[in-house]
Amino acid sequence: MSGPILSVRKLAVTFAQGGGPDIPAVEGASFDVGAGETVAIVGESSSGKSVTAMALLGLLPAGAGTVVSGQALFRRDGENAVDLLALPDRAMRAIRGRDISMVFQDPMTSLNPVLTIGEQIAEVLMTHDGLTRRQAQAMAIEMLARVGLRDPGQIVAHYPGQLSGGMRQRVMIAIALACRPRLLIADEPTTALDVTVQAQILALLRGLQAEMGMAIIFITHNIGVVAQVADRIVVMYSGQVVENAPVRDALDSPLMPYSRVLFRTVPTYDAVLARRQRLPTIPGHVPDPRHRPQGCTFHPRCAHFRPGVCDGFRPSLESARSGHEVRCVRWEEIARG
Amino acid sequence: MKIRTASTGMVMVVVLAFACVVLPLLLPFDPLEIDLHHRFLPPLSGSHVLGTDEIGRDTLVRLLVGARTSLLIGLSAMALSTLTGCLTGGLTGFYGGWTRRVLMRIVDSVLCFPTIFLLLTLASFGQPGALTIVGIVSLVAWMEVSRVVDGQVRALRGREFVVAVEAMGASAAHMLLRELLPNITGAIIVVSTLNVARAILMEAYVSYLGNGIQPPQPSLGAMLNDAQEYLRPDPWLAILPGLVIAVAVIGLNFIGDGLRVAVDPRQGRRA
Repeated sequence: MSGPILSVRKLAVTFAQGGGPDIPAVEGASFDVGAGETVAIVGESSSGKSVTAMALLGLLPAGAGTVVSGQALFRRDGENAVDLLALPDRAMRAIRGRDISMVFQDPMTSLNPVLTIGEQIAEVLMTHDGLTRRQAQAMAIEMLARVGLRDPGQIVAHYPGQLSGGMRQRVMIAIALACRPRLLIADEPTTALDVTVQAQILALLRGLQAEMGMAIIFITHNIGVVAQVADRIVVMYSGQVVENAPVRDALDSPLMPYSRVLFRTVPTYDAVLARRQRLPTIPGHVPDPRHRPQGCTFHPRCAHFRPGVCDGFRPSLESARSGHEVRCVRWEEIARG
Repeated sequence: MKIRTASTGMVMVVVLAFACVVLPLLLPFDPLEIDLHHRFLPPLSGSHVLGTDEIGRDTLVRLLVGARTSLLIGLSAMALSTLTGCLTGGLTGFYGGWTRRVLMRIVDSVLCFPTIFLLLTLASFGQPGALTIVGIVSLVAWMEVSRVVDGQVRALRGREFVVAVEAMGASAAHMLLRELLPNITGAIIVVSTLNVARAILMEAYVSYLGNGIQPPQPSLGAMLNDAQEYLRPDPWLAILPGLVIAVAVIGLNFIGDGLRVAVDPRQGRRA
């Protein structure tokens, strides 16, 4: 690996409301994605993970008081890095779908109901690779075969309504990967699917990644999925990155109290069957982004809360070990036990 | 039930259109041919199936050619107003904000004028003729299409599949023309069908009042006007063109209503 292909630095997104206070959805998120690496961004709803993804692709609704700041350096093949957050529209459009693609959560709604599957795949190829309609159609069939759909020659003529959820998600992946992007952003790509289909889609993504070598940003709140696919975990809480570590390191010895409880909320057969106990939950709620607590934003829900220490100032992200960053004043004490 | 209405309308319009195109070629009369020896012949008198008018012209041929002109004007005006409406409505629905505020206020202000006065005012400015009528009728008919398209595009704009194609690098034009418009063709067809009917009526108004198709070219509206003087002795001269207008307009409205239900089943149940 020769340096990251994406470096996000101090990404902040604020939504201004008419009249009301501004909503800081993401506050200074920083992380790197290496070439061919899978980075999982995990966190509860409203932790800012999807907004981060949308901001990287410049897809947040323009106007309406949306303010995006920070830097996201993206390195295309053999070229100098470009700052995704500062690119003009036209250049951004050329990157979307060609260098960076996105797969969305709900395959039932993310395909156009009145265009055939073939047309929707061909469209991307014609936009970016300048293929003719005939070439693009042929390529579309090839892509459908690659994402493991049987009878691709028939499926190109189908409309989305004629396919099942799992098949549609495969189609979405075919569209996203048609131009061989260097980075794929998958926003909860398996959340809307049956568990068995989830496993198939994850296997498919991993297979295609091995084959095509793209990096993946995998946004999810499903820790079980993370363990299967990710090289690195970025944990987000109320708009901030609170822990960033290699996947084994993070799951085996999480340092931030939030990650510790988050990872423990994953049900395992052993725990559930053996002890018949209730699933552990995190008390309280994710704070309202308009009224985030003073100091560490997690302190009202934290078992290790120490008055005067945790609620004074906002802790910064510090390096605990090599490649393992944590945002907690007391992580050393907590780790010692 | 609604399907039957639509089919009835379809039959009415198709038969009328077919008759307009084919029959004038088969009949032995020219619509402009004057025959002062055979004025005011009643219908079913000899070779003049629907009789003759005040200067002996064959009524059937004049009706058919007049209806043909009406249908052509209706279709062209519909095409033009649909195009304008889709363009403006598409832009406002897609971009929202100031584009929408400005364009939709223009739509509102045009809608404020009573249609007939607006129509006549515009007609008095142009050179009377078929093209002028098409122009002015489209000018007063595009707003509804615009509103419908605006609403539909706005409803679809935030849908996930639109964001998904945007994430794949699609341009605004592509999203609007290739992704959004195909999703609302149903609604556009409905409004446009009803617009053809309205355009035919408007053409009749304008020609009746003398600002439309100019004599001696036959036109349904002008025929009605001519017939006024002879309403007592020869009422069929007024009844027949009125009937043709009614058949065309009712037929098109039936089609439009039937399609509306096909496009949006909820409305049918409520009605």
